[in-house]
Amino acid sequence: MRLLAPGYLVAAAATAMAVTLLHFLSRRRPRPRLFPTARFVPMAASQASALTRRPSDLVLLLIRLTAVLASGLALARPMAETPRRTTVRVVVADLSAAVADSAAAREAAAALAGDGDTVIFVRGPERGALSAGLAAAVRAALRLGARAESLELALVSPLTEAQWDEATAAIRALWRGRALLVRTRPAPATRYPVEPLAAADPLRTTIALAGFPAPRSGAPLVRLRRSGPLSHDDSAFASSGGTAVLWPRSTAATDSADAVYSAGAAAVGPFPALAAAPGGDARGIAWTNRGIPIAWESSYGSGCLRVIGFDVPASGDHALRTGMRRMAARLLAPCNAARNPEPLDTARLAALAGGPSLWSGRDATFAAPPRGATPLVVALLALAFASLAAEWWWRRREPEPAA
Amino acid sequence: MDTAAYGNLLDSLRGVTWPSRRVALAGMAGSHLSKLRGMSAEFTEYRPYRQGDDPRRIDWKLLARSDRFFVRLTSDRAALGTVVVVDASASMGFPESGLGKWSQACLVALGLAAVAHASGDPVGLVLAGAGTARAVRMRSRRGVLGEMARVLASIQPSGEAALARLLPALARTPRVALVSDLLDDEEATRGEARRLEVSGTEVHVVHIVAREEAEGLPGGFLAVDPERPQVRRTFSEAGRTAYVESFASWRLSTARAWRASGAAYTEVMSDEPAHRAVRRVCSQRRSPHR
Repeated sequence: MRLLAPGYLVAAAATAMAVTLLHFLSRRRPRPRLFPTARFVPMAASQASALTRRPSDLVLLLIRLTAVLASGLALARPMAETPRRTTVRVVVADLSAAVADSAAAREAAAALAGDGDTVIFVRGPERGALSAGLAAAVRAALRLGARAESLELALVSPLTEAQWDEATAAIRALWRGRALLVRTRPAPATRYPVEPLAAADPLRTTIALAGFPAPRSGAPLVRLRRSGPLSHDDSAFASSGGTAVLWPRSTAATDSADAVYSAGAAAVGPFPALAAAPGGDARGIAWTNRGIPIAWESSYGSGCLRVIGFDVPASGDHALRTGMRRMAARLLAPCNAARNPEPLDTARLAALAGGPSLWSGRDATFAAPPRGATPLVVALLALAFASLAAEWWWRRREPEPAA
Repeated sequence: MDTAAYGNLLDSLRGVTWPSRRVALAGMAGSHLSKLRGMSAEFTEYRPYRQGDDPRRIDWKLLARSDRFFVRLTSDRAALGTVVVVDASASMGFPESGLGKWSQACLVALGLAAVAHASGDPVGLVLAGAGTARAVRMRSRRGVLGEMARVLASIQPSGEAALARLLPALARTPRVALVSDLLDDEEATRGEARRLEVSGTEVHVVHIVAREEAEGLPGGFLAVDPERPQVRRTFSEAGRTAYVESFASWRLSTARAWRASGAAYTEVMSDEPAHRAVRRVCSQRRSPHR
C-alpha cells in the first residue's frame, strides 16, 4: 500500500503522541461524596495537575487515538498496490535507416528482453531515431512503473552522430536511471551521385574528398546548382523524390561567417555568407557561429529543396578539412537516407549511459490518483467519526457521587 | 431501627424526668408545676383568711397558736403536651452506611417522648422532610410510643425539611422538641421557634452532629451537599483544619443564637450514647437569657 499524502499520517502520529502525553498529565478530579456540611469546606482548586505513571482513562485514550489515527490515515489517501517485480527492462531496438542489419538488431533486442520486459522497435529515418526510441521508452516506463521496483533501459542501436538531434539529450534526461548501450553495426555511409561541378569550383574538391561519386547511370539523387534560382525542372526533380540543392558561389557574398555548424558537422571559416532565408516553410539546417541560420531545407513533394547561404572560399585549405567534408556530406545528403555513420562521441555516449542507479518504479508511476474517496478511505472516515461520537458519549458519563 | 436498641434506651431512661422549664398552664393533671393553686399536699404558703375562702382550708393549729385565721395554700400539677419534631431531610442520612445522624435522631426523639410519656404527658411526633407529611397525634395512651417507633422506622431521610414552614402549626403546643442537624434554613427556623417561645411554647433544640462532619472524612474527595447538589467543594487534607474550625465556629454561633432566642439548645454527637443525650436535654434549665 502507498500513501498519496503521507504528511497527514505524520501529523496524525504527532497528534496521537500529544494526546497520549496529555493523558499522562491529566488533571485528577477527586471522587465525589455526599457531605451535608460541604458549604463549610474552604474553596480550593477542584483539580490538580500531576504527572502520573499510568495514563488516565485508558478507554478514552484508546478512543481518541483511534479517531486521530483513522482521520490521519484517511486524509493520507492510502492506495492499494499490485505486487511489483524487482526490475523491468525496457529494450529499445533501433531498426531505423542507420542500422545495417535489422535482423541482427532484433536478435540482440530479444536476447536482452526477458519475461515481463518490454521491447520497443524504432523505424524510420536515421535522424531522430534515438529521440524517438527514448521517448517511447519513457512512455513505457510511466506505464510499467506501477508494477516494478526498478526500471532499466537497454538501447540497441548503431549510436551514430546522425541519429543524435537537438532533442535527444533532453529526452534522455527524462529517463532518470542508467541505460545499457548495445551497439549494432551501422549502415555504411553512402554518398549518392551529385552533378559534376566545374574544375575551378572549390566545392568540387570538397565533394570529391567527401566521397561523392559522379553519376554513372540514371538520374542522381542530389542535384547541385551553383547558381540560382532553382528552375521548374529542379522543383519537379525534388517533387519526385530528389534533393535539389542551391549552393550559390560566393561572388554575391555580402557577409561572412566565422564558422558553420549543423547536426553532426562543424566547419571553421571564415566563409563568405550570402543572402537571407528563402522564407516559406524552410527550416534551418545549418547555422553560423552567431546562431544565424545559413542553410535551409524545405520539403517538396517526395523530396526536398535546400538553399545554402555560404560558400567554400576559393583560397585556403577549407576543402581539405574534415569538418568541411562532413558539412558537405551533411548538406548534400539526400532527404531520406543515411548520412553520417560516425559513432557518437564520448560525451554523448556518457550522456546516453547515464548514472549508475536504476530508475525507481515508484518515481516513474504516472498513474493518476483515483478521484474521490476509495472504499478504504470511506471506511477510515467512518471509523474516525464513530470514534469521535464515542469519545463525546464517554466524556458525558458522570460518575455517581458516593456517600 | 432495631427495636432492641429502643428497649435498651427505654430501660436506661427509667426514672428520668423532664420537668418543664416554666410554670405550666392549667390543664390536665400532671407532673408539671401549674400556675393554679390546688389542693395537693405540697404546702407553699399561708394567707390571711378572706371572706369567701373555703373554711376547710383554714389551718386550725395555727389558729390555736396565733388566735388568727390563716388559709393554707398548696401548689397544683398539670400535664405538658410535648411534640417531637424530627428532621428527616437528606442531610440527616449521613453517613450513608449506618445512617449515623438519623439513627441518633430517632433514638433521641423516642427517648424524649418516652420520658415525657412516663410523666403522664401526652406526646406526639411530626416528621419534616422525606417528601411526606407524617405525624403521630399527641396522645397519652400506652401505644403511642410504639406507633412513633413504627413511623420512624418506616422513613428514609430525603428531600428538604422546611422546618420554618412547619413550626407555626405547633403554636398551641406546650412543648416542642426539635431534633435536627440545623443545616436547613437555620435562621428562619430559629425565627419561628422564637415566635413559639413568645407565644408560650417551650422549645428544645437537639442539634445532631455527625462525628464525621465535625472531624471531616479521611483523604481527598469532592464534597457534594445532598440537599443542594450545586454546592461542590474539594475536601483535601490541606483544608481539613480550616473546615473543622469553620464548622465548629458555626456550631458555636448557632448555639449562642438559639439560646439567645430563648430555646434550650443541646448539641448531640452521633456517636454519643442516646440515653446520655436524652438526660442532658431533660436537665436543661431555664435559659439565663429569659
